[in-house]
Formats: sequence, C-alpha cells, structure tokens
Amino acid sequence: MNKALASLEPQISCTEVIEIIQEHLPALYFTFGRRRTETLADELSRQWDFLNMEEKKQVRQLICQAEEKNPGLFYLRRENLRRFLYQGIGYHHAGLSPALKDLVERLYESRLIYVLFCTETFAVGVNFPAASTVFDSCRKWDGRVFRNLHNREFFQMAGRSGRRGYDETGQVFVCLDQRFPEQTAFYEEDKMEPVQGRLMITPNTVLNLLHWKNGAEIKTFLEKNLATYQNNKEMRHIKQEIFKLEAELVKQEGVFCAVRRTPACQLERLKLRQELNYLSRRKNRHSLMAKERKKEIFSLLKIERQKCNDKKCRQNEKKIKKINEKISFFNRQANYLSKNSREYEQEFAQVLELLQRLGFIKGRELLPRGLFALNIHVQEILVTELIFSGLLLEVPSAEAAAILAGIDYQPGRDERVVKGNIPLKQMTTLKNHLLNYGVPEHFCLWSPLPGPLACAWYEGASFAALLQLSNLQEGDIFSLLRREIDLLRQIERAAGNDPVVTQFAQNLRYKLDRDEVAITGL
Amino acid sequence: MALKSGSSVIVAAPTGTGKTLIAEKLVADVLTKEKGVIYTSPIKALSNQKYRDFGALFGRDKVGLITGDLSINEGALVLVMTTEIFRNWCFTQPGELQDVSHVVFDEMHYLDDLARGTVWEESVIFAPLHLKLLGLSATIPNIYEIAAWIKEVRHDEVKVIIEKKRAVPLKTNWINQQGNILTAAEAQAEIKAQQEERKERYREGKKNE
Repeated sequence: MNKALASLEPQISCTEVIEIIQEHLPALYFTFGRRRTETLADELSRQWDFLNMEEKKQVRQLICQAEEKNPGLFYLRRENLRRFLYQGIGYHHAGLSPALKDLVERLYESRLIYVLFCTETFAVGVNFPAASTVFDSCRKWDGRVFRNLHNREFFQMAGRSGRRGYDETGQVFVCLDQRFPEQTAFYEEDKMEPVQGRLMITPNTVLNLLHWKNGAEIKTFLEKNLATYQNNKEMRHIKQEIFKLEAELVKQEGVFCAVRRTPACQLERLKLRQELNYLSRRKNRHSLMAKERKKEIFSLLKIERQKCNDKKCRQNEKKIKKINEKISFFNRQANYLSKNSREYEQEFAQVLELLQRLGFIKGRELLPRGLFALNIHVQEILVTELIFSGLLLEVPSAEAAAILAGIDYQPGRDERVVKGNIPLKQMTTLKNHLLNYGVPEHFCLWSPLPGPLACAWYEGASFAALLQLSNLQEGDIFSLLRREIDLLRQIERAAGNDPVVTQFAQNLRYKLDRDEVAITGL
Repeated sequence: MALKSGSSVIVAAPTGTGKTLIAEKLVADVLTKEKGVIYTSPIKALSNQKYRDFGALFGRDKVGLITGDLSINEGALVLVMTTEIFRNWCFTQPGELQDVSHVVFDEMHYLDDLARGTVWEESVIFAPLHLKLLGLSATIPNIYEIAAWIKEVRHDEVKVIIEKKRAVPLKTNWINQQGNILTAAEAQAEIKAQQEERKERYREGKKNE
C-alpha cells in the first residue's frame, strides 16, 4: 500500500488483517463496542465472500429453520447480518436477541462463519474455539474509564485461539494503533492479576445473616472474609518488615562512637555550621534570638574536634535516614490497612442502623418488611417499600409494570425511549422520600427510562413495536423484561401467603412472559 | 484422586485443559455413592450447556437445572444452577443440601468480580461445612492464598492443582499499520521509534514557529 495513503488511517483495516491471516481462519475478531463489530463486518463483506454454493445452501437452511421458530428474527435492524452470514461473516454482541445470537453460534459451530466480529461477551460464555483471535484494540470502557485489558481478560479472549487437533498453535493478533502507540499493551500469562476479595454488605445480606446465622457465624463473615484475610496477611507482612527494619536501625546506631551528637563529632559540627549559615542570612541576621544562638554555636565549636575518619559515619547517617523513611512508609500503609480491616464491621453496623430506622428490624428480630426483603435480591429496600407503602398495588397494572422495569436500571449514555403517558410521579416521590430518609443512592437505584417499554409490552404490543419506541437493541429489551420477570418471581416468593400480592405479581408476570421474551425449552 | 479421597480441591488451569473432565469424573463418582452434587456457573448460557452435557452423560432423569429463568427436575441428584441460587440456598434451604456431598464452582476466579464476587464469597463461607468444594478457575497467581483462606473459613484442607500448559500453545503477534507481523520485541521497538518520531516532529514544529 502507498505509504502516504496508509498514514491517513491510524490502524490497518480489517480487510487487510484478514488478508494477512487468511491461513488462520476461522478467526474471532474482538472489538470493544457493538457498533464497531457491525462496521467492520460491513467493511469486510465488501471484499470477501468465504462460502461456496454448497455452504451457502447450508446457511440458508439453518437461517430458515431459525426463522420458522422466531418469525421476526432479523427484524429491520439486522438485515445486514443476514447478508453477512451468506458470505461467511458474522457479528455477535449483547444487543442481539438471544435467538439471533443462538443462530450465529450455531453457524459458527457448523464452520459456516470464517470471521466473527464480536465483543468480550462472546468469550465469557460457552467455549467456541477458533484458529486465531484478532484484537482490534486492547482498550475497553469498563463503566468508569477507558483502560487497557487486564491480563486475565486478555487471555480469556486470546485463549479461544487454537482448536485441539486442528491447530499446532493458537494465533493471536493485536492491531497497533498509531495514534496512541504508548497505549499498546503487552500481555504475559505468568503476570495474571491476583484474585482479591470483593465482599459487599447489602441489606439483603444483613437480613439473611440476622435471620439465619448466629453471632459467631456473623463474626466469621465480617472478620474472616477474603478481603479481610488478605488485609491481615498484608498487615502481618508489613509488621515483619518494620520489625526487620528496626533491628537494622539498632545495628546501624551501634556503629557510632561515644562522642556522637556532641560538638566533638565532625557530623555534629557540620550541622552546627549549617545552622550558622542559615542564621547569618539577611532576613534572620537581626533577630535577637539568632544573635544569641550564634554566640552559643561559636562557643560550642571551640571544643576540639575528635580526630577520626568521619566518612563512614556520614554514610551510616544516610543509611539510617533511608531506613527511617522506609519505616514511616510501612507505618502509613499499616495505618491504612487497619482502617480497612474494620471497614466491614462499620458497614454492617451502618446497614443495620438503616434497617432499624426503616422498620425492617427491631434489634436482631426481623419485622414483616425485613422478612419480605429476605427474598428480594435487587434493590431490596426500594422494592419492599413499593409493596408495603401500597403504591405498587394502587396504581394501574400497566404503571406497575413500568415502575418495576426501572428498578436497578442504569441507562446507557445514548439510550432513548419515547415517553409514554404513564405518570410515574408517585414512584419518583417514593424514591425521593427514601433518599431524604438517608437511604444511600445505590440502595434505591431506579430510572423512569425503560418504563414505557414494559408498559407497552404489558398491554400486548409486539416486540417490533417496542423496537420502534426506543433505540434500545433487542438484546437489551429482552434482558430488561427478563429481569423484571425474575423480580416478579422474587416478589411472589417474598409475599408468601399474602394472596393479594402473589396474585398481583403472578398476573403481571404472565402478561410479560410471552413470545420473544419467553424462554423456550432447552 | 484428591477428590475421591474426600478433600476439597481447587484447579487453576487455562481453558481446554481438562477442567471439565475433572468435574465430570467427580459427578460420576458422587452418583455411584448415591449422593447429590451441585454444579454452579456464572452465566445462564453456561448452566444450560452444562445441563445438556450432564443430561447426555448421566441421563436426563439424573440432572436438574435451576436458574432465574428455568427450573427443571429440581429433585435430581445432579443440580446445575447459577451461583446466585446456590448462595441463596446456603441461607434459606441448607436442609436441601444435606444429602449433597460436593459443590463445584465453575469459573471460581469470579471471586474477583467487582459486582458479583460477593456471591462466590458468601457461597464459600456459608456452604454447609459437610460439603466438599471443587473450584475450577482460570490461571490465578495467588491460588495458594485462596486455598489457605478457604481452609481458615471452612476448617477444611484444600488441595491445589495447577496446570500452566495450554492444550494448544498461544502465539501472540502484533500487526502494524503497514501490515507487518511483529513479535513483542519488534512491536516495542516500533512503538519507541514512533514516539521518537513524534517528539522530533514536535521539535520541528517549534523551530518553524
């Protein structure tokens, strides 16, 4: 390629990559962004067609079978994928409907896809090995920042390379980005990140602990969890280090002679001279105190200096300084760790206090709200309040469906849904009320955004109609409604023998669990 | 072997090195003793797959599946479930686990997952103490630390098995903009050169100002 032309694009095109690695197909081509999988598939499809007539026939057969089961399989948005599949090219990301993902996986397994552009999720599930993997980039958005992939993430994906019995080695190709060369990451399998404890104290955990476990068991949970265990281990290590350093300190101190820190010692004399210098500076010169101190120093320096080789002493002095620096560094770390080691107990106490204030518990005993929340595993405080305040059963069922859809929902940056005519005002009031009551934000996560979708689905709209209502992708709408169905099951279980609530939750669930959103048998 | 002698085991190995085989052997072994075994995995798709695989190996009637979506044959000896469900059982239905002798944690390195790791941890801490664990994990450097921790919370000796070699070895290459395939060292050299070039361009630009 012409070099001048090449420099316009910071990175090699996927078409060229495939040309270079065509000996190593099928390839999984990892990108970090759903749109990007589609863009690249489109780009490649303009130059490559991997399938012969016989293979195309097989593709048609598999597609027809899938479409029979799921009539709207490709909808309008995925017609591009159908075209790619006939050329042996595919894309796969969390925005696709499960049925379509399933079809792509089937085609891949049947060796009818030669290049599959996919996101990280493809490597998390079932193992689909390939001859090679390609990394369009090694940077991903992790929900907070763009960062390089960790070793473990990289090898989770790269490890898909190499089919047993087919390939001698699994080839991995990382594309360099000329714009940000310093961001290129290098990975080594023996530099995997260590596993760290990630315990979280949620209201549900606290309630379960109070209800099912005794004091000793709760103590084990708080004091012997992995993070605390690792913390304590680190603490022991630091204490050992400090102990060693202190011993070293004593040893170094022993090197000095008896005149140390008296004016007879050359080290002390140097210090005094320095001070003298400082006191003679213009801004200090005229102060009375400086004058007196100077006098004092002059008289001290009149004492005769001990004749000795002070070089060794000076080196020692430096060593001691360094050791002291190290000790204070470890002490700071120890302080930090000891603060952390009590973190879980404090958090537990905080949640306990909150639950008490909200009337979920009294002492160690669970009140009706607490017993209910025992069975709720998402936003348990918010959900329980929705039921116990009567709000969820008072509003029209369609609105209830809309409210529940928004629980624990964190909208993506550019997600848009056409606003419906459901008010959702009462829910906003309840949420604000809880916030004012001191419930932390992350215990009442709720968004009005997906409401209209759940409402329309409840009222019998088609899945295609939902797609018209929003820019959310099929996979997102599917999991949004599945989560709501799961939550309704939890509510049913939590309500136990309260016929009104169970009936309500069941009715809602039956209306939502249908057609594209239903789970078909295995 | 260690499993047969009745201790808990964690295996750290790359994909495709026979972790699955270890789990299958364990299930077969437990079944001959007419005990129950629970297999947990982090993703519904993996649970479904495991359910199908086990069904084909041991007979459909012997295997059940419980996820947030589906519940099939809940009374079976071999139960495949999501780790979340297992964690809930440890609290609410420890009685159901009485006749179960082993629990398998697939992808045990999920312990480190920011959002969901707590589920694995609560499961390890609160799984009834008569249960032996089989943890299957990707390669992790502090596997012995994890084993020591489990020993401390469960008072249970944990054997560690490490496999570093992949069934098919990997070869990582870098592709630059001109389409050359580079080794790591070459890629690093090229990156350095590019950085130098950029600095040079910057200096030139300054001069021309």
